[in-house]
Amino acid sequence: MSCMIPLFKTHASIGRSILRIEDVKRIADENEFDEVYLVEDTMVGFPEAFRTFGEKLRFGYRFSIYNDDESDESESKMIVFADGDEGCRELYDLYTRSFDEKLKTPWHDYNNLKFAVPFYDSFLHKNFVGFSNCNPNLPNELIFFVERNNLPFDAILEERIADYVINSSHFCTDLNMQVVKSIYYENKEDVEAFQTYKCICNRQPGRQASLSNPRLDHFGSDRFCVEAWKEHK
Amino acid sequence: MEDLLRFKFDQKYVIFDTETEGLNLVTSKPWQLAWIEATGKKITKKQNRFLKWDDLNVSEDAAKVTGFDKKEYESKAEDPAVVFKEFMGLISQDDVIVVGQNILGYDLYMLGVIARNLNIIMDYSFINNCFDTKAIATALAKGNKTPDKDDFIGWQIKWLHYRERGLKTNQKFLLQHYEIDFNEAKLHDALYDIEKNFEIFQKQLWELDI
Repeated sequence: MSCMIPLFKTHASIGRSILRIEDVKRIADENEFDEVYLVEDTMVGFPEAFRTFGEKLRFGYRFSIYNDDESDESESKMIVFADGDEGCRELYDLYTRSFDEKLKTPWHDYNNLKFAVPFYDSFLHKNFVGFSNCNPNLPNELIFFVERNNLPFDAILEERIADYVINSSHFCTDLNMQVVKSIYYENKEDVEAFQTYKCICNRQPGRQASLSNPRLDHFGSDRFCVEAWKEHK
Repeated sequence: MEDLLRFKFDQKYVIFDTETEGLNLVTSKPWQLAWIEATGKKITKKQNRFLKWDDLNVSEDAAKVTGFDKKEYESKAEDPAVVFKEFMGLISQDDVIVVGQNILGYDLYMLGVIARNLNIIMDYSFINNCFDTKAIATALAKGNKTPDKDDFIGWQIKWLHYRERGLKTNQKFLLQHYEIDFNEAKLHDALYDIEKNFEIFQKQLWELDI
């Protein structure tokens, strides 16, 4: 595994980040990034991101993937990155399809996309924290992201991913792990601003969320930020 | 059979609980950390420690629920670094089982908050020695008495996240369920809670194949 890659998310993914494209631009300039990785839950921000970062942009779209039976319970997350102009066209096509159908093996239909498994909300994560039986098909080339945010279960989950990668190497040709950091705000002290934003965007029924009780299960780290990435890059 | 935990009379346990200024897993500082040490069923030591934070701000709700008494706190509060070091030294021993109610969903995060405020990177490597009575209660209520011995922590985490309307696993319910005498007015006093929690745990051990 090489150095820790920062994966930015912007407020284009509503409720999931307080960073704007211009914030990411400033951070990228300050830190002299050769590449800027954005991982969004929508393609809405792509045009602005491309205008801002040009060839430096590595755009990822986080989408839902399902078991062969297409059951709702089997839903887990995967990330797809576009490679070049043709990759962008394919990414838009996959994005559109992800609203119309339950994707199972999208990699069979494209040649310029690269797939990755996020650390949280992946099939391994869902099977670890609950009684899910997420067992999606996987492409032959795949990267498993690993995050170290000092949450109680991070190390155990990382072990499970490593075991999976080792035990699957006989039927998948190219599985790799990569340490990354999801970034939703700039500094550790911004975590409260981020929580406030999440409370506002929270659509859970029941008691109103507040900063003293934000009702965010397992939200126990202030390390989803550039400041923490700099400490460990 | 003799390998079952309920028959290991020399097993060391640390049962703990925190009381906090709120329910924010990132920022709510614990103002009380209580624990008991036990060998087998026998309690050998009790600790009820108050953590001194200059900017402690106990919300009204939290004060009501946790019985926060400002005067008592101010008179007993001590350097959190000292308490934390002592406690972590205890639970980080390989042969100690760490017990608590909802510790995997809450109190471990609160230890993380203490560490963060002390500028220490939290070491959660003791997590595999944790027994969460809430997770165990959920499993038992659903008739699962045989945990995966090779992945006990994974088994608990799954049950901790199991949701079912009407399924009760709170401490008061468990005390009633196991017919353990308790003083309701004293529940949520950290030290009293963990003593009662240890009694619940002892009952659970007789139902659990571990």
